[in-house]
Amino acid sequence: MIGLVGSAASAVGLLAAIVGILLGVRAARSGAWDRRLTIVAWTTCIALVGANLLMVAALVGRDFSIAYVAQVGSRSTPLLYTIASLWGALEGSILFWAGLLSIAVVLLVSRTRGPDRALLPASTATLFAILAFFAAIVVGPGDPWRRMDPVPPDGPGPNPLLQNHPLMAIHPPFLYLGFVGLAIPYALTVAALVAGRLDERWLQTVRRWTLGPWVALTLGLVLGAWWSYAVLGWGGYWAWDPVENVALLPWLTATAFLHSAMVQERRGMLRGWNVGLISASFLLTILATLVTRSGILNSVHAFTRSLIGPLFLLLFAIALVGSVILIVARLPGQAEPPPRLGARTTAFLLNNILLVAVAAIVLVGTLFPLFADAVAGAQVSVGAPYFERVVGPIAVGLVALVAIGPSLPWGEWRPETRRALLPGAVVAIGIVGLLLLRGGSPELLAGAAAGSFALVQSAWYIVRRAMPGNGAIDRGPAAVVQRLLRRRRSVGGLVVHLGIAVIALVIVASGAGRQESSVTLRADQTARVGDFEVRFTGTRSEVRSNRVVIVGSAVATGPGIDSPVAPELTVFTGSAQAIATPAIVATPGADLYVTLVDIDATAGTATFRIGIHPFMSWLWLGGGIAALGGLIAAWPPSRRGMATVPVVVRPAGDDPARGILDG
Amino acid sequence: MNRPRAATLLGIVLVAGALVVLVAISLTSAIVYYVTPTELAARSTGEPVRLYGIVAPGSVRWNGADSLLSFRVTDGTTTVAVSSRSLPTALFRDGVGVVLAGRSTEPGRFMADEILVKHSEVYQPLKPGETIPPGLLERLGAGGTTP
Repeated sequence: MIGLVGSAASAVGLLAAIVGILLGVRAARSGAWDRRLTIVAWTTCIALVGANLLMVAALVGRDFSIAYVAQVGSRSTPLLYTIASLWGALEGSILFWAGLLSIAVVLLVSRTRGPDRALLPASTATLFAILAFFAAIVVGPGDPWRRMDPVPPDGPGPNPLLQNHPLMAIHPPFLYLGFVGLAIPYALTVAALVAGRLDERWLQTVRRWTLGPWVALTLGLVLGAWWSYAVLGWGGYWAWDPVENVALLPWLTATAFLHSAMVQERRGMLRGWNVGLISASFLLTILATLVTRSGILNSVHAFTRSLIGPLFLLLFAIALVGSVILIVARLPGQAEPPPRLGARTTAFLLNNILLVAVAAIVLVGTLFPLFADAVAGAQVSVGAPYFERVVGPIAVGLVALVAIGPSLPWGEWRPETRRALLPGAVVAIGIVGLLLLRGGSPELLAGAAAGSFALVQSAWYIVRRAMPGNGAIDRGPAAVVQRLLRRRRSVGGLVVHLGIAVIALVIVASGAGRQESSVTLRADQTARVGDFEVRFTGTRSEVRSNRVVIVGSAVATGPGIDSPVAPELTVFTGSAQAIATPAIVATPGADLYVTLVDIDATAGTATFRIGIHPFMSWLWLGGGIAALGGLIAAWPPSRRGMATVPVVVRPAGDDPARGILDG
Repeated sequence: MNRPRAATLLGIVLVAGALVVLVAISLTSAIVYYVTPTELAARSTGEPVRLYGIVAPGSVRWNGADSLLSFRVTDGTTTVAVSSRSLPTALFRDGVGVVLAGRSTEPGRFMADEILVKHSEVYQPLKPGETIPPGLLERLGAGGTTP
C-alpha cells in the first residue's frame, strides 16, 4: 500500500516538474512571472517530500514488499540507522536528493523578492529541469518502490560500516544539502546569462545563495573526516579516497567564488570567471554523484550494468555543454570595466588560481585510474603521496594568503600595511625557531609557520574590528558585539579564516607527532607507546540486536588519562564481515587511539594497534569554527540595514585601508 | 593587446605550465599498478605495486615477538609468500580477498606495508542460507552466542 502511494507521489513529482519546465520557459520568454509556477513548485515539493516520508515510514514499518526496504532494511536494525538508510544506498539517495531539490525550488520561489524576481522564471525552469531528471530516475531505472514477489520475511540491513556510529547518520545529509544547494546559484546564473544581466544585484543574490550550501559542505566534509577517523579504525581522517575527493572539489570552487565575488563587487572585474566558478561548482556536484553512486571507480565495466550511471554521465554532459554554449553566447555582451589591480585584488587572484589549481590536481588524480583503465586497460591506483606532494605546497601558500590577504589595501601598496602583519609574523618566526631547535622537517616548518601566522593574524583582524574606531565612544561589551555584528560579512569571513588556520595547524601537528605501534598482549600485560600505557584486562562478548560485539577491555593511563578503553570487533548477523571499531580517548593535547585487531581465544591473547594523534580534537573544533563563520557571514542583514546597503561598484581606489570583507 | 594584459597572459601560461609539469612528474611517480601473484613475477623487485589475491587457507602465522605477520597469497595458479609488520584493520582470515600495498623483495616473496581486507565497497550481504563464517565467533572467544 505504501509502495503504491509512494510510487504515485514520485510520478506526480516528475509530472509537476515537467509542467514546471514548460511554464517556466514560457514565463521566461514573456518576461512575466506565472503564478501557476508557485503552485507547481509546492506540488513537486509536497509530492517528493511526501515520497521521502513514505519511504521512511516503509523502512520503519519494515515493509519488505518494497524493493528498497528489502535491500537495506532489517528487523533488527536500530531506529536511527533505519531512518539513515533512506540515503544509505543508491535508489534511496536519489529519492532523498529529489526531495531536497524540490524544497530548494520552493525556497527560491518564496524567498526571492524585488528586482531579483526578473531572474525567477528562467532559474525556476532550470531547477525544474534538474529536478525532473532526478524524479525520472526515481520513477524509471532507480525505482525504489518496486514490489518484491515473494515478500521476504526479513532483509540484510544496511552496510555494517554505515551502522556503527551516529556520525554516519548525519554526515551524508550535510553533503547532500551542500550539493543540492549549489544548484540554486547555478540556476540563478543561467537565468542571468539568458537575461543578459550579470550585474551587481545578481552577484549579491548568488553570493547569498552560495554561503548556505558552503556551510553545509564544510560541515559534511569535516563530519565525514571525523567518521572516517572514529569508525574505520585506520587512524587517519582523510585517505584521498575518490569518494572524499569528489566531495572536496565543489567546496574548492565554491570557496574560490566567495573570494572572487568580492573582486567583482569592488572592481566589476571577473564576471566571466565568476560565472565559470558557479557553473563548475554545480557540475562538480553532479560529478560527485556520478562517481559515488554509479560504482564507476570500482570498475569501468561495472558502470554500464545499471542505466543510472550512464544517465548521470548524460546529465553531466548536457549541463557542461549547455553551460559552455550559454557562456560563450551571452558573456561577451556584458560590459566590464578595465582591470585595475592593487595589492588586495592581486591577493584574491592568487587565491583563486591556487584554489582552482588544487581542484584541478585533485580531479586529475581522482579520474586518472579511470582513464588508465579505459584507454590502456591498466588497473592502477594514484596514492596519497601524489596528492600530498602536489597539494601540500599549494595549501601552505593558501594558508599564508589567509594571514596576509585581509590586511592588504585595495589601492596602492602602503608601507603601514607591513605593521599590521607584525603580530602573526613574530609568533610564526618564534614557532619556526623552536621547531628548528628540535629538528623539524622542512614540510613541518613551512606548515607550522603558515598556520600560526594565519591563526594569529585572523584573531588580530577580528580584535581590530571589535575595537572602537577613531573618535567613537566605547560603550562596553555590548558595543563590541554591535560593532562585530554590523560588519558580519567581514567578521564571518575572518572567523572562517580562524577555523581554517586551526585545521591547517592540526593537519601539520598531528601528521608530524603521530606515533603508532602494534602489540599482542596477554591479560594484565602492559604496552607502552609514547607517554601512554595500555593494560589489557580481558575480553568479553555481548549480543546486541543485530550483532555480536567482542570487546577487548583495557585500561589506558597517561597525561590526563586514567580510564578504561573498550575497542570492539563487531560481527553483524546479516553480513560476512567483521568491523573493528576503535576506542578513542580524546584530550586537548592528544588522542589515544586503540584498535582491537584480533583475538586468539585459544592462546588467550589480543592484538591491539595503539596510536597517538596529537591535537586531533582541535580538527573538529576548527571545522565547527569555519562553519560558524560561514553562518555569521550568511546571516541576512536586518530589513532596515538591507535598504541602506548601496549596491554599486565603488570607484576604484577608494578607502584603501579598509578591506572588502567589510560589509 | 596592451602590455599589462600580455603580462597577465604570460603569467597565467607560466603558472599553468608549471602546474602541468608538477602534476605530470608527481603522477608518474605515484602511479601504482594492481597485479595478481602471477603478474607479479613479470615485475621488477622493489617496484611499489598493489598485489591482490586470496589468503591461502592455513598459511597465516603471527610472530608476536617480532611483530611480524606472514601468510601466502594466491590467485589459483601462483602463490606468493607475504610478510608484513603492518596489521589488517578489519578481520583478516583464511580465504579472504586482500589488497597488499608493498613490493616484492625477491621472486616469490612480498613485503606488504599495508594490508587492505577486501570487504568490497559494493556491500555483500549474506546469501540466503549463509551464516556467519563457521569458527569465526569461536576463534574470537564469542562461541555459543547467537544474536
